[in-house]
Amino acid sequence: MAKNTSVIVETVVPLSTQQAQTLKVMLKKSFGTEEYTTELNPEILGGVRVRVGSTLYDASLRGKLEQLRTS
Amino acid sequence: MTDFLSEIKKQLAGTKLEITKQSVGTITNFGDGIATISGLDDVMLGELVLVGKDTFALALNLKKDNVGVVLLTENRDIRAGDTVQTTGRLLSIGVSDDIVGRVVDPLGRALDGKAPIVVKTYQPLEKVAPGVITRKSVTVPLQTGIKAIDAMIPIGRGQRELIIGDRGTGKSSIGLGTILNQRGQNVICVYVAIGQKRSYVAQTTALLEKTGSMDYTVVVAATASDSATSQFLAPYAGVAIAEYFLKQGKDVLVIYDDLSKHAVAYREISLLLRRPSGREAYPGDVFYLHSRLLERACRLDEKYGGGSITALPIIETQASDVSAFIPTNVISITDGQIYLETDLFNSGVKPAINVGLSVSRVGSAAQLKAMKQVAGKMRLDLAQYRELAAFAQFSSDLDAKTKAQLDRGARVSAILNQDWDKPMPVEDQVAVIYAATNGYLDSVSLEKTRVWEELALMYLKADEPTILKSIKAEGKIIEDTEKTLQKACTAFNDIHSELHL
Repeated sequence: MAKNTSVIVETVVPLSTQQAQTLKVMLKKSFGTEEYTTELNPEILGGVRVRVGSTLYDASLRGKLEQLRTS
Repeated sequence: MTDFLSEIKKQLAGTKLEITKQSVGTITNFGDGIATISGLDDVMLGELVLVGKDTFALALNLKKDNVGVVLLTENRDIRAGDTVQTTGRLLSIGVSDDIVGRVVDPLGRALDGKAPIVVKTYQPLEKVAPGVITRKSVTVPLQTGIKAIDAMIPIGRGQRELIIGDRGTGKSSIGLGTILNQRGQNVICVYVAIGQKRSYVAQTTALLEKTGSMDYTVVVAATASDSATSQFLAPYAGVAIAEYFLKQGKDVLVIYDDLSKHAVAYREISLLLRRPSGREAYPGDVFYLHSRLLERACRLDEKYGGGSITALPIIETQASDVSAFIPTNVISITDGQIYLETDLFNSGVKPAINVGLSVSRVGSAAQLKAMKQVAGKMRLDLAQYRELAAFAQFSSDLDAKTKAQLDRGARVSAILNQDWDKPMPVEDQVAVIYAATNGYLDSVSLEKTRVWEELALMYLKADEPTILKSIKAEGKIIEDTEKTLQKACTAFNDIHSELHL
């Protein structure tokens, strides 16, 4: 099965050009793709959340607060 | 102020906030407690997944491009598009010694309105049964307190004995009677109610409480109004609790009441998950459903901690059809069955056990010597009685010997009648059966056998206490005891001439 590697990037405020460029390089290196869709999601409070296929990399403020609550 | 700050710093010092990596998916379809999820690539079979914020579900179907999960709790707020994440945990139940005396649901939540169970460890619901090396053969009896069973269909600790019969034949009563009889026997009882009425569970719990049996009993309840998932998980939760006590080297008795409803609940889940259906619309793995559950009944070798789990599954048949799918499956898995019949029940035989069709494949090795001494003779008496009784219906003239055999058989049968909530200690059983099989009741009128039994036991306890004590201590009837017992029976018969014909 070809893995679904659609990339969704969630942030609170739009990424700057510099940030977007860095992200592209990182994505290319790790997953072999530069394509991604951005979504503005105020619910994550801050930071960034990247979903590659069915894997969610959570570097958002909300995620950290959740960790704090459960730890 | 600085104190407060440093306190917060101290609290936060231990926590590590990292960028996390999770496997997530999205609900594409939801209904009837079943959700189909796309994504969730890393999910394990039987893994607990988190739907939304606080609803847990169990992954049961892993397909090429979707995952089928069943929700463990009712939640009406779930929508297609919601995020689901894996937890990396398998389904387990929180247990501790405090669970004894409680009524819990299959996830270990209290149902009796008392405080939540204090959790010491988590026991997985699905676990591979103990291996061959760790096991030991059954040698210790599990006394049910029911004369007909302890004498003719003995059950040993670690055995799996099926109780099978139509509705209203006293199946649950045998299970409950056995629980009542475990007082002071050092056995923890787990009663699993699957798909029963809530009123019945409340009634049963009240009864167990009233008789003081709750002191060593756990009730796991998934009632008819609970979800099919709950009913499907209940027996596994029951055996998981049992395994917690097994680890402590204790003897545990688990009663599954009943596995027919369990199979029906599993059928419901399977059909909703669109698994192919087989005979009677049950899925292909319905045999494995029960075999993996009952395989967890065991008796462990002392080297591996000792202890045992005895399983008494109950199966309800429709119109006495034991050749239906689920009954035949469970009959073949267990080490014997106790077969109850409506006709016997209606003709006043209680417990309504069909002795001819009931067997215990391993229990006789565990039977008390004293019981073996008297039971062999009884079985013979009863077999002859049944054969002659059918024949004697057609002829009025019977020779003296046949008539004597018929009379003996009728009294032995009568002595096996017993109220389900009055279990009898094994030494009492031995004394009564000895008296019946050795002709001390032959002259007693049939209607008065129960009065005889009651009075005779009172007499033995008051006037000849050594007899019962000796049977209990020795585990067999020694020659001296036998003589004293014979004398006592004769003496008793002389005193109570009013009971005789």
